[in-house]
Amino acid sequence: MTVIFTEVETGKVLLQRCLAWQLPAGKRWIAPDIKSGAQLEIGIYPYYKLIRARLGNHGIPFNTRNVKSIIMRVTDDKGFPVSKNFTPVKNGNDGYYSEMPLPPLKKGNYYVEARLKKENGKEEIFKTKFFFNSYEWEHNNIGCDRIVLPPYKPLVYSGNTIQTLMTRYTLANGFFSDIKTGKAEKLLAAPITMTVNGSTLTGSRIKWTEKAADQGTAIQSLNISGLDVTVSNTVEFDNFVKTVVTVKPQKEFKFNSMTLEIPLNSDFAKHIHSTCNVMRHNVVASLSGKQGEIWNSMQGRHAGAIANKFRPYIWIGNMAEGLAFFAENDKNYSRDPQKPMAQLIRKGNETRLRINFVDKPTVRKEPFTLTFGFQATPTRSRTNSSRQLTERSNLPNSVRMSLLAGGGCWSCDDFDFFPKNKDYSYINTLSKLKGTNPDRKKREEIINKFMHNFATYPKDRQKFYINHLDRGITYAQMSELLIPYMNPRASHLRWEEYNVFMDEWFCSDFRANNEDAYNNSPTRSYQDFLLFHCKKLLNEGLDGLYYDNIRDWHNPNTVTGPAYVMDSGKIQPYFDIFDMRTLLKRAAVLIHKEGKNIFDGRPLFVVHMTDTNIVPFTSLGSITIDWEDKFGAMDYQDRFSEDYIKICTLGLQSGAIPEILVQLSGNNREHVTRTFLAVTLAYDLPMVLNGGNPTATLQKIWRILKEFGYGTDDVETFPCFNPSGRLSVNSNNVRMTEYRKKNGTAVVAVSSFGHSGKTTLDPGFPVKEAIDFETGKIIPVKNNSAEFELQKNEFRLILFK
Amino acid sequence: MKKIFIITVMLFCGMIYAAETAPMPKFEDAVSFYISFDDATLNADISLGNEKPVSIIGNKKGTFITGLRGKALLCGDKGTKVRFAHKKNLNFDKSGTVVFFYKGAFKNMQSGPRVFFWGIESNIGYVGLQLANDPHKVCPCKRDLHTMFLRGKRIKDKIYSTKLTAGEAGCEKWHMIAFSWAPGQLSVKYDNTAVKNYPVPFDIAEADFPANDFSVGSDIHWQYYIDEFTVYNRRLSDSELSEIYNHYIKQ
Repeated sequence: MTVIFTEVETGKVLLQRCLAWQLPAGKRWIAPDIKSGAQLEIGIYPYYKLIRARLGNHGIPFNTRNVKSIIMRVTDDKGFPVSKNFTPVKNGNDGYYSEMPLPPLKKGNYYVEARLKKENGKEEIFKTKFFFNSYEWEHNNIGCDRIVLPPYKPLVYSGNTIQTLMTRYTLANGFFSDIKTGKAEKLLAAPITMTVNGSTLTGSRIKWTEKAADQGTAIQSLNISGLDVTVSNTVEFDNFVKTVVTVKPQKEFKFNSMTLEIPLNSDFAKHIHSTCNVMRHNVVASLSGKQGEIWNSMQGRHAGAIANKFRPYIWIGNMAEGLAFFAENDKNYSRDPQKPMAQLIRKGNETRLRINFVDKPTVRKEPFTLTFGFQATPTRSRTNSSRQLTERSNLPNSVRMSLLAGGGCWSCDDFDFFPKNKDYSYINTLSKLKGTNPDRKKREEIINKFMHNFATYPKDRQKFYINHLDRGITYAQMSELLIPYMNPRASHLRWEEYNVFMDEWFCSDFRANNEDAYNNSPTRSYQDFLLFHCKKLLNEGLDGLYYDNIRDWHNPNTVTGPAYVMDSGKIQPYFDIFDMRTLLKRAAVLIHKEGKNIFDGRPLFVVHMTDTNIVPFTSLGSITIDWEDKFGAMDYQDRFSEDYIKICTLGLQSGAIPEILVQLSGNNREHVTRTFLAVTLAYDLPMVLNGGNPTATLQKIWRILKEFGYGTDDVETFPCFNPSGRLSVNSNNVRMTEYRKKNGTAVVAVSSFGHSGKTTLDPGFPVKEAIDFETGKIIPVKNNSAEFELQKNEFRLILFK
Repeated sequence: MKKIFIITVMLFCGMIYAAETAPMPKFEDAVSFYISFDDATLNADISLGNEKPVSIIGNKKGTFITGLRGKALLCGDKGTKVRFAHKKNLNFDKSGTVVFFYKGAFKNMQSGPRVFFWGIESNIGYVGLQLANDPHKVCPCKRDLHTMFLRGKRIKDKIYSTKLTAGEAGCEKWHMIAFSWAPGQLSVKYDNTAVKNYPVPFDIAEADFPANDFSVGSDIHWQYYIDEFTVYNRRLSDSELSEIYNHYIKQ
């Protein structure tokens, strides 16, 4: 501001000053009624027929003190009410919250409206818009058929036991008194029991409420003074068990402790795998042989949003044999956050996994439930012929599959579940091109015919799709089976359906108006949407499905799962284990029913699970993918430990066919490729998805082995973790895989895991001749042992005649 | 009386003049820092802390063009990055919002990395708003907005990506970006599209970003103009941000 003092008579300027205001620091005068950034947050849940609305959000309180009355309601685009008025509840002094039934709505835009009448007579209105529509795919039953997926077998019931393909559960005292699974005659050292205040609950007679081929449900009451406890176990054909414990205090009951005691046989408690939505940093390790507490759930990384260091998944075992425990969250537990939710305690022949439901004393008088699950492993095994499965390769003695990835290779945009503009013509064409060899002109014709669907895209983006469509044709040329890349944790704001269902799909407590490639849960409506399109893809010519991001994921949505508000006001999310499992089962059933099966009748279904070998998921996938991690120039022996390979990659627990990603870089790609081969030959991992840059040696070695008969009935394979017992070598840092022909000829892949230099290998049978199977050169034999040099971390293939 | 009358008129004219040259931002009661660049200087118009830059990187005097309602500052190659005091001007212990407008001058380059707008650039806790680093040969108008957290003790490295809808058609036009933080949630609003919320497992706090200053603008890479940079000491609602957008853009 400029101030000028002027003499009136003469016009003379007596004084001139330019002034500026500096606002005072700290608090200033604020009108009591000023807005505080409040907005009306909503959640629309069509499958639940529910609307939630909240005023006073995310730490920004809304002043309720001068509000005389408030109603919330739904209006149409023009402001006419389409619901009755609801009175929301006050959220302390910080705002309002309402749940309203979703009224029947036609396609269109609507508002959730909050109308507040203030003490001073003024009215304040908050409105949040939403779009609604209904779709043909809603509430479908695709994949809901109650069948037993091959190679699993129908359940067999006998008294208190239930037999699956590879496991026999014996039920007692609410849980399992005995588990026989795979090679483990006795997986348990003692029965699984529940204790309350130190007393073990014992059970009455078991009542079966269902005894179907695919699942059975047993209910048992447990006895303890002061409580009525019922345990329901639903066992499915792949060993999956969902357990619901209902606890009804007869009157106020003080819980000082409540535990689940799982006493495993120490012979089958040598490995651990535990997750907490920290992919690439999950717990995968050998267990210590010492006595006492050898692990607890506080150890290892946890997702930051999870309170109480809760862990949703713990598997303890030894190679294939083991037991998984899982739960979606700690709802209805009473936990001391300074103590572990799970402990592993070794004492002689017993290694006890203890789950602490209550370790902070609490008094309860209302009924509550605890929901968790078990899965004994192995759930199934693999056939020798499954070794023939290859990925994007033209090798002999192979079942040649190609993953159409990225999605542009099957003509979809980003993570869509359907081709661009739902034009299936390219997929139809691809399916007819399998095994053929179209010339360049024909390829361009096919691509140009489809590209009108991307005509509005910028030129560089069109080029991207042209390249992908061309690549799709290349994959079809080399394949008998084509499967589309899909991501069942993705969402796009450009899906009209997503704008209706986002509050059921996106992992947030209220509407986020956001989309993401990971942060979505496959709730029932999402499953229906996805599977509707999957069915179409299978009907239009594709041969199976690939699902990315099959991992644990947490979700703060209190409508779609057991997320709950803690005393602190923060939300404890839940892990969507049961919804993801349901999606995978439905997808597997769909693929199977469409006749898209391989080898032992299992559906052609690939699940990508890098570092998250969650058996309730992988037991339903037929092929698992791992090793999308540690890309670069390191030797493969330094990327993935042998424990990791055994526990996570091999798929022994679920009988899945393991597939791995290879990606390497640097100036020594030949050496790194050879280290990759050294590891994958030792651990019998032939199915490789090429992520970039291995040298031609990779295909060359597998061609040699496949021409030898690897994967056929003529050759038996003994990988290093399942040895034939007859080979011996002069170093502990060598691993061997033997490929034995029926006629007695054998090839041994000798892999260095740190050893270098002179290597002496005795095949365990009289040797006439030893040949370097890669080069054809004769290898000297002395005292029935082949003698050769082995480079550190590389391999040799030795043919013994 | 006449004399008094003349003084009053002058005061009144002065106030109108002041209003025209230094208008207030919207929701001024919640402003803790505001720089309009309208006076062709690098000093803040409103600040609870120090209004003067603690350092100026690149073009020390700044190059100014006609902005949204006064002047705007050239950033990027041959442009200016201004660092202001963190203390009192920005407070992560409470919810807050950063709002600014930018206009690309991207056609001056063929290829390059990111477009950096604002952040705390520190090895002991980094937060920043920028257009994506890659692909280098793609014009920044077609890249996502990245809200980046790096090198934090408590907050893990993470990029929250927001698709920007304007594309090539909006390449050299004015756009608004608003970034808000509140317990358990980050929010980003671009122009007048609905605000996007990102549930996060942390509540940002001052201890996460102990550096003494924050940066506005950039002195390297792609050129653009920045205007009306404002820090609010509360989280603005979606409708309030729309009001800001409509106020500046429609004007």
